[in-house]
Amino acid sequence: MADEDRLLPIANVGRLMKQILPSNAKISKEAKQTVQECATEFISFVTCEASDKCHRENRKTVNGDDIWWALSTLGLDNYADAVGRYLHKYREAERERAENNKSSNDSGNEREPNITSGYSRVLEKGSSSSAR
Amino acid sequence: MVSSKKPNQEKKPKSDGVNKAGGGNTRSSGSKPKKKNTNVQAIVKKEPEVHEISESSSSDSVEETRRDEPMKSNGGGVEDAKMIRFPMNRIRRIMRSDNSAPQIMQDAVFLVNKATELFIERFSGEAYESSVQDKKKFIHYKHLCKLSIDPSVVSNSERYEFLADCVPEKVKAEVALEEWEKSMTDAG
Repeated sequence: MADEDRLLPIANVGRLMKQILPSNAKISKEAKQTVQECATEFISFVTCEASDKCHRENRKTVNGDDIWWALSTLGLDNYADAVGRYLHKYREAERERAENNKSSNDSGNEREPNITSGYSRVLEKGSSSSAR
Repeated sequence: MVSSKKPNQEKKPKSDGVNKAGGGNTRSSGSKPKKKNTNVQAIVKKEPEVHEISESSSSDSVEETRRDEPMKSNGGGVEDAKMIRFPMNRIRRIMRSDNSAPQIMQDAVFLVNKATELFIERFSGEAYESSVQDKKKFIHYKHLCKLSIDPSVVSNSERYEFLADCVPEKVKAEVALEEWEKSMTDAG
């Protein structure tokens, strides 16, 4: 169980690979597991760089900009560009949501927090915490 | 069997959880047993950091459709930006495991989620090209191994050297043993 938890869920990895590859592509089980491990390593690699930056700047919290910076520094410029756009959209959506929450609070409505606006949709694929 | 459960879960993933969260969703969740729904519900409950899940049935069906479509990973699509592939909890746990950063902001976890998605897409894509060049039906370990060792074999110049330890070249056990014994002898 501990081993599974330290890696990304293989079901999600497999599904993503299947979606991106041509329908006739076949992936060996070992290759899928390897991609799972490499993706986990990728996360650690980027986070470590971002975390070091925070240490150097005496900050305790890693934020989105640090991740973007880490990707650029590590020569992963392709990712940095795309991620920069995601960061922008994420922050826009967060702003929208905060404004919606605020307006609903002001009106005194007891609305559930699940307001469908901006960044309201999440689709988590497959068995996430499938620590079976 | 754990392994046999997973394919079942794959067929109807989060939509069941979404349906549950949505309450009066007329969309049938199929013939999947309670066990799976409980798991999915448990997953939903376990991850309070997850952004709100849409409650409307129409959006669920849209999401269902969208899931089947191939994802564009150019970072530009709005729908693409809203969907995450991996559990935020798990990403956060991995980020925390080897690193000393005590706090990680939600946007950082989100970006790592999306970056990882891009990574897998590109890495798999290049492994596939490698397998095609090799005229193999399956993508094998060696096709991944090549990417980290010799980036020139692929057309893009993605940098995968950091994966060299993750996908080392395979050697035969007897060769590895010989080398190990030799290093022990040299050291001793």
